[in-house]
Amino acid sequence: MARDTLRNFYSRYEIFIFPVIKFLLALITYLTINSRIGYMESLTSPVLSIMAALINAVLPPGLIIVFSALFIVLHIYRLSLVCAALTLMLFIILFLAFFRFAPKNAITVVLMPLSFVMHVPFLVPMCTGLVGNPLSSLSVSCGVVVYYFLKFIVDNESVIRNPGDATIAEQVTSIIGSIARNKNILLFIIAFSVIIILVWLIRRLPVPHNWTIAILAGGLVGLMAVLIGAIAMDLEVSVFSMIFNTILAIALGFVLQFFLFSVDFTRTEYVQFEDEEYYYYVRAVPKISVSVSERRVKRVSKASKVSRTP
Amino acid sequence: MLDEKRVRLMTQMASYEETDGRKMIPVTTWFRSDYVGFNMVKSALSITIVYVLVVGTYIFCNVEKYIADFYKTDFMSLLRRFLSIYAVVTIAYLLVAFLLYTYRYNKARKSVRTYQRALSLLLTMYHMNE
Repeated sequence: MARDTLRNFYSRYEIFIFPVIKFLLALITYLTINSRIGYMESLTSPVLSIMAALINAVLPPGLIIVFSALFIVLHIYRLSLVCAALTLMLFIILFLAFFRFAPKNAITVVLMPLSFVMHVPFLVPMCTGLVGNPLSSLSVSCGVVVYYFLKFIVDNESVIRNPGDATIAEQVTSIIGSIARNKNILLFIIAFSVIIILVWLIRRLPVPHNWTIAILAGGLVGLMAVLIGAIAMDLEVSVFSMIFNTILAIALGFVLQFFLFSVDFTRTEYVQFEDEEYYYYVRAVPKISVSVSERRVKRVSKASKVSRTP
Repeated sequence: MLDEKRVRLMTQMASYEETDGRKMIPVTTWFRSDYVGFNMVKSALSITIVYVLVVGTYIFCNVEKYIADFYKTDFMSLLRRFLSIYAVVTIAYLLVAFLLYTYRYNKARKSVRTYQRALSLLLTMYHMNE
């Protein structure tokens, strides 16, 4: 019943669903950037964020990353020119070295820092493992680096704003050194890559309930990887938070499984072509099967005029 | 007179051209060696820019040290070290690029093969009508 409702809803409003999702994602991203590192006041206006998100709603999703990078660099430029230059360099390096291998998954670079901010970082690797491929781990790793880079800037805002007698070279060395020494980055890159690759491998296995096994195994192995890594690297990690995260990630995995198997994402397509005789303007609508429970049979007979639903 | 079967086939082909085919068909217009080679050149260019940025930042951070020890520093060995690291990084990166683009080319060929079969079928239909 729920599946059919969902399917009907999707087929009815599919033209609006993706633009609305892109708009909401872009809006949440810009508002989060503004609230966390809103150093340039002229950019923090919600109207500007809404306008940028509206543009993103009709453009390809990859442009959310470009707009976000622009917002981030401009905000940090207000704080420190050196930091802004380093941020720009980081984005260029990530773009040139990694994004070109997995441009489809680039949106996870935005989703990963967002999920860290919302304290649910396990959700993104679980979802990318279920719908992506092992190359998604590159985008997720880039997202982890971006998050910890921005976190460092927020945590050390006053020092960056007033560097004292430190030269530009000393400032750059200090920032890069702090980022390179941050073991959390390595820990989460390894743990998330393990989740993505494991989930991807298991869900492709030709065994019954492969998706369920993949979700459970990914969640549990990811949790173990974080806990063992934290002990090995001598890092402080909240065990309860990680367990909560794992449960949430597993739950989301099952929700995603339900959506992916219930809704036919083949869209209604409008195609045009021609041959020697005709021009064809075709609207191809995917077939929707109606479940038995929704079929109503009304029987009318002389003996009893009762309607019933089997 | 409209041939319903032909229209259905043409619709499927047009739909493929609009979706997966948009990326897959252009890939197969290349020879495998040209496609992989061209993308490896692009990858080499990308990794070179990244390496120049990283080394540039490293030199910028240590410029004062190098100026202070100008006569003691062996710049030739430093250059050799930078070049050997560059060679190792580039070879590793290009190997990954080679594997990835070969895989993508094979995948595209496989995907387009079905489309080409449909194209031949369509031509046969036209010939039969004539």
